[in-house]
Amino acid sequence: MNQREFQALGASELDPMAVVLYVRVFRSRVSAEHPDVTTTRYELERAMEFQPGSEGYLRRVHRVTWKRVMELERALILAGLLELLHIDGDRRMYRCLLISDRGHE
Amino acid sequence: MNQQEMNALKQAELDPMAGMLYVRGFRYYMNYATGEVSLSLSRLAQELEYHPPLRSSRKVERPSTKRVRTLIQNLVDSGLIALKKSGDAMKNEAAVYVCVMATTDKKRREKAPLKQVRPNPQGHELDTGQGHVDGHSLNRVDKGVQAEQGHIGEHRENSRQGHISERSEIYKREIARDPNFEQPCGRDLTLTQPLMAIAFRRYGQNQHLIENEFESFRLHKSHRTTQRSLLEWQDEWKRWIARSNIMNPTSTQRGNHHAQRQHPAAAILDVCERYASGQPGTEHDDTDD
Repeated sequence: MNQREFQALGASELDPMAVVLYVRVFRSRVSAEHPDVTTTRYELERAMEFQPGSEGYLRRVHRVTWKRVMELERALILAGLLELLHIDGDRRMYRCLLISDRGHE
Repeated sequence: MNQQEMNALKQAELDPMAGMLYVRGFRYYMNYATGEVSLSLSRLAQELEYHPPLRSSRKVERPSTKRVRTLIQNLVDSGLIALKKSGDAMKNEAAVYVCVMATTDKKRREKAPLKQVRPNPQGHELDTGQGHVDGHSLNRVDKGVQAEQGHIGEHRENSRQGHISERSEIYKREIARDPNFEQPCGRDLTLTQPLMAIAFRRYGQNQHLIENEFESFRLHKSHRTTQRSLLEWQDEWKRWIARSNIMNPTSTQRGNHHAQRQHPAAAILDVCERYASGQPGTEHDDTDD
């Protein structure tokens, strides 16, 4: 991840959960040569799940709604981190705009 | 951020907020040389703040220090960070953490023990005294403390290096062409013929206007102490003139001419007065057009 991405993700106007969505779904799959990523609604929802490991019988999976995922996606687009290329049914294709092969990993 | 960190952040057991704390807090402020980061709990809470956009129904969110402690523990459990030194409230010292999975300069050097030594703009090779060093370390030697902290991207250093070498090449060529090559600062500039020729295209033959403009150019705050070659000063003077808001003398005259144009009623009154006095208009007025 380069410095420009860190700065964009560090903006206090960006929803905190959007940072997680960016790292978990988009950034981990792309590289400077291939900045495009195709994902599905299931993957997006699944990526935001949280299953606490140390709460004993209270352990339950925290999920987010599709509406919330779309809010986070919009926040990332507005922050200039993502571009929605096209939607094909359930599949959505994005481009990570700030990816570069220079800078610190 | 490397793939190992990404995979760790994708774990379902990791609180999403903890992931964000890692990205915004620990990883952003990490010292690239050592992998260490020292931030107070309040500072970390500040990094997690969320300010919703205008007209949003959401409120400003700021986690408590207790919540931040829980998130830090979550990160430690997942193996992303490790506590190196506990903080001391009495001494006003924050705890020191190490980003275990992050790629630091030390790890990078161990991974790729090195091959290339790049010449610097002066032409001789840099000697770091270490024998084998990688390209990143060379940049670090060039940039000193800033790169030591690791907050400057490699791309910026590379582009700067490229710019410097390009400029030094220009100077070398200039020196080869002209043995009396000099780099005057703006204060020492004089209005020579080439500079005058550039100004003529814009201002015409108005010597006074050109001299005034040149005076403000050479004493401008970003010019008076800057050293450049004469060719570079010529380019800067071209840009200055292009940006200049001063209208050229011909357009100013035209502007005045229009400003002095009579009101139609006054012109009619003037013609009537001339007819009344028995001297009908001998001269053609512009306002009749």
